[in-house]
Amino acid sequence: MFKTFLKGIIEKNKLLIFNEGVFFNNFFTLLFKQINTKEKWTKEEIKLLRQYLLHLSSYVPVLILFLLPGGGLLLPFLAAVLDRRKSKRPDSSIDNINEEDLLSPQMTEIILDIKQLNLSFINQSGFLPILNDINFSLKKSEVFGLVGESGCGKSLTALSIMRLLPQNVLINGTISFNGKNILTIGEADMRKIRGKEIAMIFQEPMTSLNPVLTVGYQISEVIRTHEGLSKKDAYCKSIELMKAVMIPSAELRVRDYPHQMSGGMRQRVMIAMAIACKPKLLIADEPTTALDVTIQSEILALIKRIRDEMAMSMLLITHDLAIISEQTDTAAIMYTGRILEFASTEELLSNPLHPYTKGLLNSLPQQKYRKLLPIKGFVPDPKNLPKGCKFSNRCSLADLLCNEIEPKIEEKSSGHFVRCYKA
Amino acid sequence: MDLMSSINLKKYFSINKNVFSKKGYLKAVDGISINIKSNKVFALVGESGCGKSTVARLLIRLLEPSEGMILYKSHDLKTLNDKEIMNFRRSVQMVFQDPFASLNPRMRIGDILEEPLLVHKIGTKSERKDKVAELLMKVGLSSDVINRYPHEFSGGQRQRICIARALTLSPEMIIADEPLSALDVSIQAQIINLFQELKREYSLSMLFISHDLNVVHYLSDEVGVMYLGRIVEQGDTSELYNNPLHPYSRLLISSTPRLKGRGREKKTTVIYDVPSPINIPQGCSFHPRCPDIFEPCKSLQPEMVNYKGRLISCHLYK
Repeated sequence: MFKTFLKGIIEKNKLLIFNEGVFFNNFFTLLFKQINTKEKWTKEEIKLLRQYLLHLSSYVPVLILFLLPGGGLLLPFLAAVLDRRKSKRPDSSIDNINEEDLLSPQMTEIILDIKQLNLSFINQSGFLPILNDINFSLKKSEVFGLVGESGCGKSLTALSIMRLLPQNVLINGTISFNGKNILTIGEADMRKIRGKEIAMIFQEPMTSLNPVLTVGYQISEVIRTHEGLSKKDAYCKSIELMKAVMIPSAELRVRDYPHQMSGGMRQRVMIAMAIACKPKLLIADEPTTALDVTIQSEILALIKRIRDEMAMSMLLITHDLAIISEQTDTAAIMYTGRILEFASTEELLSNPLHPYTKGLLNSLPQQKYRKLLPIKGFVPDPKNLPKGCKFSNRCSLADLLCNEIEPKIEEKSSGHFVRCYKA
Repeated sequence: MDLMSSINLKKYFSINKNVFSKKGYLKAVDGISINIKSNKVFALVGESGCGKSTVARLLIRLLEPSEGMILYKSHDLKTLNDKEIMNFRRSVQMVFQDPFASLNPRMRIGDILEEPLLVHKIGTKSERKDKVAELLMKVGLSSDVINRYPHEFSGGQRQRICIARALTLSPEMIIADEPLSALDVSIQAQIINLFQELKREYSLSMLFISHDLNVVHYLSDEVGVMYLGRIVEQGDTSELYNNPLHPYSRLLISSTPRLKGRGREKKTTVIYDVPSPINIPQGCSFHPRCPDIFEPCKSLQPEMVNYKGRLISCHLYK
């Protein structure tokens, strides 16, 4: 009871502790930080420490129980109670979801809504903020593009939606998918959503397929887990799926191992796995970066066809503005973990407002003999970001205000959001 | 004037599947003839595995050709003596694809840039120091980086160091093998501009290898489209991009994503993987993927012909 009370507090503060082991690790790191490094705790860290202590206090009743003589006899009993609670968990959380599911009719159009998503890595020296105030939403059958250079946090945004993050991260904010907040539901429920309602196509098809299992097995695994089909039926269905993604002679290739296939074919297998359960949202994280242009255009055309047939929404992550221009409806430009500009793709590319967006567009070789105007300097290290606007050190328009205070993202014209004073 | 040219250049790698089977060959480069004119940029484009990088390595003699000739300033590379080889290496330098792998992690930047001068015994110690500082200035780095190690730099900065190293010996020609593919868009543009400035300043010739057709269009004067070890079309860059003749060039150019290319009609092609260079198809090697296939394609390998000022190897153009 005490623990549920505390859990309430933690959820209220939008704080997520992924598992106990990491919790203890982080707790002690933070606790001894002042002694080890002689640095004072920051405000944020004190807030977190307070929450950790609260969380820790939930262990007190259990400890007392065991310190009592004969407490050891209670162990098997306790185990049985815990087991029952574990098996009950899915039902109870479904009740929770239904309460949150009460939405107004226009809201149902929005499939994914990310609000004030912040993400930091926790390490020995404290926090390292990676994502900062990410806000965007995706409507049904809309294609949303996230563009940015390497290390700007595109992939971490995608992994947060899938909740496939490494364990040493601290994340707060809300990611609502179909009205429920993905960040607060239990792991068992998340497993039901992951792969079935939200699916992901990863960047490198070689490293994201299991090299010791046949591709047929890997596709049918998804179907067996989520739809409960028998092994044989799932195998037949995976052949159908492989035909759907246009793999020639699918009946034979279903027995192939990933290394027997070319890059393009492997990416098709990844797509087959992703669409196996007809997800509502498809996340494609640089799906064609490792492929040749001819294969790239085939894969993009294939994803587009499947998307139209199944009325899927898609989050497309890429560094290639040309792909964004050809594939997406809305797009956001990311830089150092922040969204700098956000608008419909046409508006964004024809009327860019942020100096960084303009710089990116001027960096692309489009016409022969038109001089390229690259952005000067380099992407800053996340440990050493500029104080005010994060782009100020590379921006030609930056003045004192830009250097000191970071601008907020504002709507400049309808649907066109920019994080810049000069726009 | 032709600075460097290759005549019917071939490189076969032998592969033995097992002890008893007949010896097989991987035909990485199968008869390539190109001319690189002085102060011009020649680009090679093609899909991965088509032999672009092998051509670069053959031209700089990192690999020995199986057949054919490479001429540099009308001298056959095979007949050069040791001293002439040293001179050749001074005048042709290479920039590699991956700036993370092509710098020695245990050497300081100053030493990396000084090494070519030491090898070729150029200048006194202070002259070499000055030269290194001058090179770093040229590529847009400050001269106090000489005591730092490669891991302290980002990808774009490392590629600048690689370019500086290639320029140390004041070469006449640079071979750049996918120099931009590991870099971000904003950094790519910086490096492209740097290449153009250096080309103007030192009147360099360049062999530029890339799979990014937009960059090749921007940077090169002449382009050769490679497919499975052969050049299928070669000509002036602007002309080739405006009017690609070979079905493969058409496929490549129409596949390239373009800004403001939304809703552009794309020809859907027959789904077919790139064949492995171990099993090159009979006849024209492109015929299994070709939309305009007709009778002779399956059996007869097309000859390279001059068609309206462009070299093309396809049965459609005679």
